[in-house]
Amino acid sequence: MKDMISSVLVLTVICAGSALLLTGIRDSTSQQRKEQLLKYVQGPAVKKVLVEIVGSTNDPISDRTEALIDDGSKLDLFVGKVDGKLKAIAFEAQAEGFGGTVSVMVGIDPENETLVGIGVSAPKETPGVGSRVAEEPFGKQFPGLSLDENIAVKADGGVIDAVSGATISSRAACKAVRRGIELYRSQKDNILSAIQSVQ
Amino acid sequence: MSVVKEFTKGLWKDIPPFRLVLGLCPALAVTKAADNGIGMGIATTFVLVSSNVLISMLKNVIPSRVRLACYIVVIATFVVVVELLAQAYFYPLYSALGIFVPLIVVNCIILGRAEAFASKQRNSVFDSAADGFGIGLGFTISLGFLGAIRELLGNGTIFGFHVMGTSYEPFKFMVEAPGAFVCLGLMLGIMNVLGRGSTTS
Repeated sequence: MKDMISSVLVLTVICAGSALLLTGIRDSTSQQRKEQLLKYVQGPAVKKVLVEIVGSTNDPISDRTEALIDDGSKLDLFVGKVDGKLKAIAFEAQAEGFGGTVSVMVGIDPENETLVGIGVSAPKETPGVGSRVAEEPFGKQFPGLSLDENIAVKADGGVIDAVSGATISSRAACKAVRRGIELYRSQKDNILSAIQSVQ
Repeated sequence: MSVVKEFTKGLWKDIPPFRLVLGLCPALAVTKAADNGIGMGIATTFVLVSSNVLISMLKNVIPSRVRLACYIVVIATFVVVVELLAQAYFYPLYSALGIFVPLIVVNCIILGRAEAFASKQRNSVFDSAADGFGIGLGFTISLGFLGAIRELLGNGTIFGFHVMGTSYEPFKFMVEAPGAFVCLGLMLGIMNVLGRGSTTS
């Protein structure tokens, strides 16, 4: 009996200590991690969507703003402009993939209500299989699609060809895009008024 | 004296993965380039030293019935610490190693050293730290060496610098998965031949 109590006690104390240490490190590095993410992941994705595809002439990274969402959270918005005129906006949406979270930078043309492009970041998917959703052949299916289109893999009745062997990762990328579109639709007023402030 | 001995055994006599044939999964997976191999080795070394020290300090408190659960919690904690720090300060390395950073938890070298060395009564905290540091450094050297060979043959570069000249046709096979097996197998063979004299006597 005494042995059992000490086993439970020791394990509990070690787990609690571990949780305390990890919470401390997570909180103290959160700002730094956010900056690194912006520099190495979101930055290139935003550049790809807003500069390469749309041809924005501004710097969408420095022209970013925050939109206040109805639930009280904030959404980072990247704005792409051609000669000072708003062409497209981009923001990040996520869904659970096979090995972890798949993040997608969703670029939307607010005037024509179409997707201008996506930039996928899937660092936790299986290398060489699921990770290929981040590559060009998959991503280039999205530009030009209407926001009303059924954005899902063909096996689910949608219009997107899944990466072969990586249906779960492809579904996750599509789901993230759908979430992004839903968010855009439900928060359109908040998003557009946030953009007004940078123009 | 024993601290020095515990440290140096990881560099030749028990060098992983060539002698201590453990930790083969990361040795095969991340050694496409020398810098990735060394980065993985440093991350593993950090976890190995920290978990060895902590487990050695706690060895009298941990009941033997739940010892493996305790070791895994300790090791997993340090792995998440490495993951968060790498994400915050070494992002390119973090993204290059990807899924293999969290997988350090199940690297048998770490649990192996905790169970076979750090938890033994006769080994002090300093011995355990030296053991972890030596084995970790040996692992880093091995991974860096494997990575350098594969990068050199498969890509014509070392640490990203071109060294083979423009006429060199890269032997792409070496940076693919089969190249990892061939390279590791050859290294194991060479190490066996080199070590034959000292082990059979």
